[in-house]
Amino acid sequence: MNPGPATNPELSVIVIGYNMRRELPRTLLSLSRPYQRGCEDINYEVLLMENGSTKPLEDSVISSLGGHFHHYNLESPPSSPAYAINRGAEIASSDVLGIMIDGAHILTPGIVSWVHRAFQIFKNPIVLTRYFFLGPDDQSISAENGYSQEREDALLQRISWPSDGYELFRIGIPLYDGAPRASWLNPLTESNCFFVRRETFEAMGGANELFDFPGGGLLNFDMYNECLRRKDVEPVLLIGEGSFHQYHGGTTTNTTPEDRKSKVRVYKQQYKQIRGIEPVLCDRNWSYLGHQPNKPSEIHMRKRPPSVARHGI
Amino acid sequence: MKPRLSIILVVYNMQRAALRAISSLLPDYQQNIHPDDYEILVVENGSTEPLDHQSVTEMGASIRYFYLDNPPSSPAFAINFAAQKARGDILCIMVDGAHMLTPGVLFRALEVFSLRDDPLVLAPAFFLGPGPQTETIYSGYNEEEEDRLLATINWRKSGYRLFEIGVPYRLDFNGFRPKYFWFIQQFESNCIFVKKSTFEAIRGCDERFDIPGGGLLIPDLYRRLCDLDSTQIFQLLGEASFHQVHGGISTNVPPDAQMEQWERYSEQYVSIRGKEFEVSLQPVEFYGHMPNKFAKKLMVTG
Repeated sequence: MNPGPATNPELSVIVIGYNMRRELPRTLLSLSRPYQRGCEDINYEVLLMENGSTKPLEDSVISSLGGHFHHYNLESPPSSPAYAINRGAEIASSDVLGIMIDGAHILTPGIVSWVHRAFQIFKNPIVLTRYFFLGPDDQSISAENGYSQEREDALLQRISWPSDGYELFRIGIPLYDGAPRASWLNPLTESNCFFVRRETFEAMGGANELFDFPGGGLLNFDMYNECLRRKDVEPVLLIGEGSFHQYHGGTTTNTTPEDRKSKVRVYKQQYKQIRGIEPVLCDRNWSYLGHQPNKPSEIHMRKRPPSVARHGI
Repeated sequence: MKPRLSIILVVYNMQRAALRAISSLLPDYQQNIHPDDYEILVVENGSTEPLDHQSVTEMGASIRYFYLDNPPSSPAFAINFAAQKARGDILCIMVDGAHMLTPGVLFRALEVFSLRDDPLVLAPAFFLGPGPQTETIYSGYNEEEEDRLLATINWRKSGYRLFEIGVPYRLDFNGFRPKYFWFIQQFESNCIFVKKSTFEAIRGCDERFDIPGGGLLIPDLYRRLCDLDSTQIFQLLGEASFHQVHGGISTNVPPDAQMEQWERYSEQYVSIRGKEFEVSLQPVEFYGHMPNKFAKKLMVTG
């Protein structure tokens, strides 16, 4: 159902895209009604910011999703998504901003409603969704074992996505980030879909455009770590919801593990230059909110790494 | 002023444990909640050694004390009686007055009521002490040792340290003990929050559960509340109730006797409901935090 153009939306989701014609339709579909559940009474808008794409998404894709979707093409922007995020925040109409720095992430169907609930409970939260990879392993590893866009398409087809978005847990794995086990209670160092009050976003100076590497380097970490450093901001992690990265030849995610490590080293150096400190996650008491929508979402029951064979790829 | 929440605490011959339970409900211990937001109804279920009425009500302005003379031995009647007296629109039912709460239970539960129209909010139950009290009382755990443990953590100043000196309360069905704790679907709780109107809609506790202690009274109540179309179950994370040792009906008996007891309770359930008791499979939602590594450890090691 198309509710028409959003007036006074409560949430604005800013999606940054760069030459992702394959991935963006799925990402945006996962933000649409009725894919998102339990949000009939929630007024939200989605802003796709094309960060200088040479092959932007066709407008017809956007318009088919409903009047609360908007498409902006930035011409010759800086290669880091920082500027595009700030530009999106300027255009966005609501007081709560959702930031998806990488438009290749498909969301589970409860994110809008659970984020909305978190903002009902907490005065000034940063609400984070957990990061997952589609496929049998961290994509920098699975790509070496033959994972590809075609296999990803087949996986998504196997779960009949988008009929039940929570089936994504069946075909993806959480970003372990060095943890020996997955747990919904582990803090995140990276979230590709987080929400803050505009006031807070502006108070920390928005996305810091000094993070000028293509892809942003540690910009994503920096944005939310800067939020965590503010004592008035309450960190909230959603349980049973996630964002799932599609394989697309991204800047850091879709390279070999070695290449990724050396890139991260350079990103960390830049972080230190800009912030004057090591990129260490601010130690805060996290709150948790959510559910366990199905068996595969019980990520603490999993062993790392799941075998490639289990997924038949 | 009418309070939002009415806590029903049923006590029976537990002078030592009940005072601490009440103390853990007071506004100088419970966080982020105003004294006017709630009242505490202490229901003395025909105790031969009751609490001192005056000293209990002097503990806090919002405490009301009721002594039931010669009541049925099950707490079902006591809970229904208190629910009628309750002034709040939300009830917190604590069937065993020997449980102490962590400091965020009340405000977090109330927050859930601002999220959902008709939630059931549960805090999971723990035993105080180094293991399940059904076992530890045979290796020397007793009231003195419990007092000593509670003194070591200065619990009233730092209530989340209760996680340092307690273990989750869980039955080992067929010898199986779940490895992970926080996301396990509970089937009862010593701390259930429900709208008074919802409690009334199912006609409250079923007083046919007349075994001393109640038998499956609370699992039955909870199951019937879960089965309503309107309700949404929420389990709190990082918040809990902690059982003090006190020679209670089902908690402080040997494991063999406990299994026999469970069978007797189950038989009564079958005779009342006409079917075996089953855990509700309604979807559960979660809200809370991990106050310290002792609480979080239950996710990692079980």
